[in-house]
Amino acid sequence: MRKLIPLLLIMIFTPLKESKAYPQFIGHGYPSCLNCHYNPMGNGPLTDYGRAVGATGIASRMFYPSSWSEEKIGDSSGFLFRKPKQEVARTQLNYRGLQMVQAFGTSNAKSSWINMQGSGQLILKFLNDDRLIMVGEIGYNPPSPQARAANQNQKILRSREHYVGYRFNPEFGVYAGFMDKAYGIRVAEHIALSRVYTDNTQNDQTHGVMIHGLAGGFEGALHAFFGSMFQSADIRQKGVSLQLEREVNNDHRIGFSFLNSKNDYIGVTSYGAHSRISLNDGSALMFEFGQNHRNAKSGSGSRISRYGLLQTFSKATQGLYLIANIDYGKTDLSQESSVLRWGPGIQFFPIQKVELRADLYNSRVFNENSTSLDSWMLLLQTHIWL
Amino acid sequence: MISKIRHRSLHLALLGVMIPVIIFAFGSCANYNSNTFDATAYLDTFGDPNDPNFAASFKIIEEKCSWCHYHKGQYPSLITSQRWVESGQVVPGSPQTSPLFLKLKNPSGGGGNMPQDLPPLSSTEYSTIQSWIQNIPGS
Ligand code: HEC
Repeated sequence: MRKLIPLLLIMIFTPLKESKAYPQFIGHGYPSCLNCHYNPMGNGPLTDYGRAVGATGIASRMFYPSSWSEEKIGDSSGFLFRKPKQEVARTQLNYRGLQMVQAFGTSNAKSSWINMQGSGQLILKFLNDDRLIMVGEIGYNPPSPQARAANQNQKILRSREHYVGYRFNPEFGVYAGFMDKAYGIRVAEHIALSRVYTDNTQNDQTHGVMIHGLAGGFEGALHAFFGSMFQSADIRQKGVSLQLEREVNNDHRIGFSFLNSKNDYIGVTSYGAHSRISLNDGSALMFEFGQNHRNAKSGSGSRISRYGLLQTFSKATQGLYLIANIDYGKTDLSQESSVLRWGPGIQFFPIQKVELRADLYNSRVFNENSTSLDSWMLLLQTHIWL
Repeated sequence: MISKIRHRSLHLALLGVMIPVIIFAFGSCANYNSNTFDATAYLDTFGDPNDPNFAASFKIIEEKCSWCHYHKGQYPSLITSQRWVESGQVVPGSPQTSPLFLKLKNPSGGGGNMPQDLPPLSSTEYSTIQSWIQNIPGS
């Protein structure tokens, strides 16, 4: 346990965001990820439709001449602003950079720039309605927390995902390859405690087979995985996960997730419940809470953790969202200490393919008889995709 | 156009080619993730009781080396002396011919270049690793 604390602390206090799936777009009438993303659970490259939605429905219009039709804007949403001339291949480039100001507002403020994501995505698609797809994403590998702590860069590429997908029909598909595990709400904040405690951070893709389906007001995915084959066999986490959402109505989904896996050292079980609610045109509220059990096979380190996440996205005007974020975690239920991180943010899509985001985070660690001093962190993120 | 072709056999042939490519592609990619240090985090005793020098050396290596050397089959998974020997990094009983030891910066100057770009191990750490390799059982 003691060995894990520094690692956890680094992860907890480094709120990087990388993924691109925005589950809050339920507020725009897109409750499912499937329409806009090739990966039915979200994240990864956007479909042609998703790119057009981003250009016309999400991003601001303020920089376009008012004479431009929706169709004209949508047509420019392809790679390098061009409409693709063939149906088989798609390419995308993604970049995210982050200006991080720690101890914001104090004389010890420390600012640093982090290149969070630089990746190239290739999609090959065949058959009508893109029923057979092959998706690969190769990207810059952010250094491990230890390397970052020691100011060492390990500039290595890594696969972000690569898989084959086949949809028998719009309601049912099978996906095989290297993907994120199906679990919980895939929020953009990959260091949200709901992602960290359950081993679903930006580097936790696994090889496996996932089935995804929609039926009778339910949408869900069942994922059988055998760990990352890039790792040695003893540490690969092998197991299953399930994410199931029920559509209460068009504006409201409730969901349940379960994950059970093990390697040579520990068994992991996670379960959680979540909800995504469309508040009104473009605004959304989401929350998730759950627990994670770690059972060390021999030796110490077993524990039960608990997490909670609440986010609201309020659309101020087209392209502009105000965010409120609350992230809670208790790493070990048998200990007193817990972490609360919360803060406001602004997300702005000035034109298509550009996202700017500013978040202020207040973190506190609560112990039995003490509370850590307030610490504020400012994150300014630039995200560009072509 | 390919999108017009609906033959089932073509689907199968495409899948047959694509699945292996997908699963085995990118073998040289970075692989750090949340499980990387599970062995250190969840095992209290490493190796076997006849090999008392191992645990101390493993801790040093874990702290000073593993965060650069965590690729497939690499340091975090070498949790017994046996595995180090099999990896070819260590020659039992012979630090002077063990690649791992030869690569270490000598705390009193000279030697190899590890840990890269960082100060050498302390002389205690250096001699702990030396005596571990020297005394691996069966050597
Ligand atoms: C900052 C990153 C970093 C750290 C820390 C580090 N290494 Fe290395 N190591 C490298 C790189 C890069 C190479 C390849 C270049 C070379 O051989 O000099 C390498 C190569 C090696 C090699 C030869 C190639 C191989 O894998 O067989 C050995 C042995 C080695 N390191 C041992 C160690 C040991 C022991 C430590 C801890 C005392 C350590 N390294 C710490 C980065 C690191």
